[in-house]
Amino acid sequence: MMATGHNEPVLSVRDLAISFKTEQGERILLRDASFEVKRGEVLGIVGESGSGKSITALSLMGLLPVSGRVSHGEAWFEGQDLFTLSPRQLDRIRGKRIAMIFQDALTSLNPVFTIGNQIVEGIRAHQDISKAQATQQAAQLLSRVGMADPDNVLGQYAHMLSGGMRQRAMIAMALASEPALIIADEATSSLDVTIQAQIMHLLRELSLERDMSVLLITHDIGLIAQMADKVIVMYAGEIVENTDVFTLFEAPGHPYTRALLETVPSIEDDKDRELQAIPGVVPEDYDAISGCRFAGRCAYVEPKCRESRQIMLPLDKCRQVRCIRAQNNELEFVHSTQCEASKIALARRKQEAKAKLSERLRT
Amino acid sequence: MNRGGLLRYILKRLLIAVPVLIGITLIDYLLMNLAGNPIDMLIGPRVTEAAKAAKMAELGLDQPFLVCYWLWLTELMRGNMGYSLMTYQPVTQMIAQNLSPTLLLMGTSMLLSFLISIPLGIYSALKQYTLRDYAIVGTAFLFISIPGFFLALVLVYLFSTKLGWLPSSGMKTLGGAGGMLDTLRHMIMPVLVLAASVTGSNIRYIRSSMLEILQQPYLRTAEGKGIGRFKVIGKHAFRNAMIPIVTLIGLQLPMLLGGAVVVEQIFSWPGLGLMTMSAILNRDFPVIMGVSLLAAIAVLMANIITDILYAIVDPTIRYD
Amino acid sequence: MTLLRAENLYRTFPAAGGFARRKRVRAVTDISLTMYENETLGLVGESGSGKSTLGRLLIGLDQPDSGTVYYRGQDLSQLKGQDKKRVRTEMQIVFQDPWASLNPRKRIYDILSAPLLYHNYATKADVGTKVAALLEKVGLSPESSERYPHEFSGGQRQRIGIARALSLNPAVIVCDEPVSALDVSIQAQILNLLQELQDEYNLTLLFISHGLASIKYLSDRIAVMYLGRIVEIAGAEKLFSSTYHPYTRALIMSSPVPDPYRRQEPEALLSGEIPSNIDPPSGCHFHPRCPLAEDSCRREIPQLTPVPDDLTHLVACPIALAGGGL
Repeated sequence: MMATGHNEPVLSVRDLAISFKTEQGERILLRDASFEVKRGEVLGIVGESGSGKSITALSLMGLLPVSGRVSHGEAWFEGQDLFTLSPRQLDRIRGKRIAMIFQDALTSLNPVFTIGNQIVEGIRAHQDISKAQATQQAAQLLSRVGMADPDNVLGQYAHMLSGGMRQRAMIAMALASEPALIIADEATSSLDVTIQAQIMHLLRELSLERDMSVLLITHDIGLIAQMADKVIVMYAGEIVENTDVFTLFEAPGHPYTRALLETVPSIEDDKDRELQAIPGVVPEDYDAISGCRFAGRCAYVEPKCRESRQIMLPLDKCRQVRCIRAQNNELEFVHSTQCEASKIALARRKQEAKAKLSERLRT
Repeated sequence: MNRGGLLRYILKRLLIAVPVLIGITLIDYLLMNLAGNPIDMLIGPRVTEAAKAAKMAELGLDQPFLVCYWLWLTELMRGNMGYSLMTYQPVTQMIAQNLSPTLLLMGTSMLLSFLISIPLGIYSALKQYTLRDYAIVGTAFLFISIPGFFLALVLVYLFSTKLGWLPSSGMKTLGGAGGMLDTLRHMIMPVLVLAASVTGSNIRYIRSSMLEILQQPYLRTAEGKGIGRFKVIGKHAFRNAMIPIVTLIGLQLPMLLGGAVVVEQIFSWPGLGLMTMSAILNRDFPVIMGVSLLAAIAVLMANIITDILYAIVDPTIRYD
Repeated sequence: MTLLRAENLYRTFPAAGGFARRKRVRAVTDISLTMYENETLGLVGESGSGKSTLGRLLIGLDQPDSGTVYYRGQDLSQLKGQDKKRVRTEMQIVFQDPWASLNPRKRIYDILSAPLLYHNYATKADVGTKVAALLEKVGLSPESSERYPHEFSGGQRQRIGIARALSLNPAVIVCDEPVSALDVSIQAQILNLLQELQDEYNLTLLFISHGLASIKYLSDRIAVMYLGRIVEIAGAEKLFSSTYHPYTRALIMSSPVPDPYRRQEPEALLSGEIPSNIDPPSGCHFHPRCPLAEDSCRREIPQLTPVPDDLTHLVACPIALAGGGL
């Protein structure tokens, strides 16, 4: 196992493409996806349903359904290309170096086994220790994730816990072997707002504490703003923008990103703010579209957008977008940017968070 | 705390069973009386009304319904189910004699059926859409479709008449020493016939339950922990598959008593089925009523056992 | 003008499982509320708050255990016959789940024409035109009426649900989480549609949601619910600019703002789980998690009281009122 230096990415995905066998034949549901996650960084993947964000995560863990497969690309993690590994080799990594938490903890936890059983199982799959020791570890993990009365919870079944507690149990399970990367796939989407905030805050703390990277998959750009350091925006099976969180909100590069920011209400809005609805819907057979996949709904569309396949290109030092008009500097909102300001803001935010954390741990 | 919940659940189930039991006996007695006055079943055409009335008074049958019921019930609890009209034997004795052969037959065939259908059903689900899956499902379908008696006759023809390997009737060789091996040889064909069709439908049911389980998100979580594919299926999926299997067991338990009528006929197997069949043909009401009562109680017991098994196997229903 | 008035509504349901245990889910406890004509009242709360139940009680889809709902001054439970039918048409609902709320075996035409014909709002002759007009109103093509629900996307089905609610010219429409099941890029379409329709038809809307942001966008007034009770009710802007109730504050602080410069303060986040509404905490239900809680909170149930400078802003927390706004 190679230790990664602070500047080397923990995960490096290049040219990922995923295809699925469907009734209409083999469809490429994700293509040309490249991104990186650095150590201790939170990478947010934001997109709507059908954007391909979930299958990206599943592919990394080797958990694609039978009908899906990685048709192209590499995923470098700790010196290995995950896509070249057999399930057995992957077993040595998943649950240990990379862990995943899912959306609905009620169905993602086995209803016939106790929480303790499932956490201990995960621990003993990767550590050669006795059941008693593993149980002790499990209790400590539950305590760390903020569960009151961990010993009691160990003996409970999933349906006996509340949604928030279940999600904490899943996080405990994921943390068991101190993974380098946690993938959270809509982990809080089905939770109440106040509970979601608790869970997200917990994840952020854990990430700071353990220098753990997080791949945060969500449709909620509010969460992205709160949690992510870097962001990739996905639409119809493609990454359309790749940048840091501050730049994303201050100077979005892709028309879809901009439209997204204009269409989502915020509690900070003035009463007279108008939500700009994005016309149309995500195209169903998007893999058959030859030009820009967002063209049908884009406010800035021109004939050339539909002609050729759009490629991901850097706009400046901190942004990459998949939009020919943006790349040609034709869009007035793509003003030149604030890469430096973002870097500073990111660094400062991290510093503050770390300070807060060490203070909290001291008390 | 887990054990406590389970115990309370079992107690609750048993308590509910008592009124149901009483209800069963009441309905049974009612039906009996609908079939005719018990005396009528015993008398011939030349008995006078006076004699009949006298006999009824003597037996206490001229009293109100509930009293008669109570008398009947107390007799029942002492093990007295009346006497067969044909053989004049106590019904209880007849049932006892014929119960064990039936239990042996049905028990063995049920066991065999589950031993085959559980692994095959699960395997078939794991290999969905492959040739092996189609083969298993096809065979299962075949066995469901073949009528039991037809299969029996084919087997008898093949193994008794043509090849002479297996005896075609009875439980023991006539005039022979008997013994376990002898009984086993007599058992092979009827057990196969009984198991065939049940196995077929079990395979299909287990397969479809397993397919559903394989879709469940928690299997993905388990695999994501890196515990290995074998454990994911063998521990996580299989444990959940116990629930539909318990359903099947529960549905088929009552058949232990009465599911073999035709097969017992064909193979002259001296069991309850044979006995009940001839009782029906001969209008031997006491025997018929005795067997129906037994059957009803068997279903009740099977339900209770199934409910308890569910509670053991599925934690989500334990803590109502 | 008061359109709907609820007085001391109580509603409980049997708790799942156990016939021996007479526990009940206290969905709605002692709610009194007024809805004014042409306003959009937002109802916000988390699981167990009772907001959906309250919505149904207000339009008579469900009957309270006790308490009364007055529609235009008339007691809903006392209406009979023709009156009842008429009032029913004036109150409609749009459901959350666009997949479950449309009968998959009926064409859109059948779904939309049935209520029109039943209430004699159209004859067999002109119902087709009316259905086409409705569909266009909600932004769908008239040809859609020939299709079945599964042929439409979630957003389109929600539009059909809205068309159905509109068809009988209602005065009030309850929108029960109308956009929660939809993709983010579609939500604004539906929210804007609701706003347009409200302006055009002078509708009164009850907008139920767990998302504060969309509630703020659509609503004139907002009522915050917690475990079956209303804890604060105020004008939409005021609720945010001068928040009184600690739960409202927690809700606001927990809602993720799409602005990376405005990060959530972990200290402002609520701790603990949301209690079950089968056995809510005594006194003020919020006291176990409340940063301002005192001894009295455990014993006394706080009543909705106006804040010092605004009679329309009500708060159920004597401590917050004394402390004067957050």
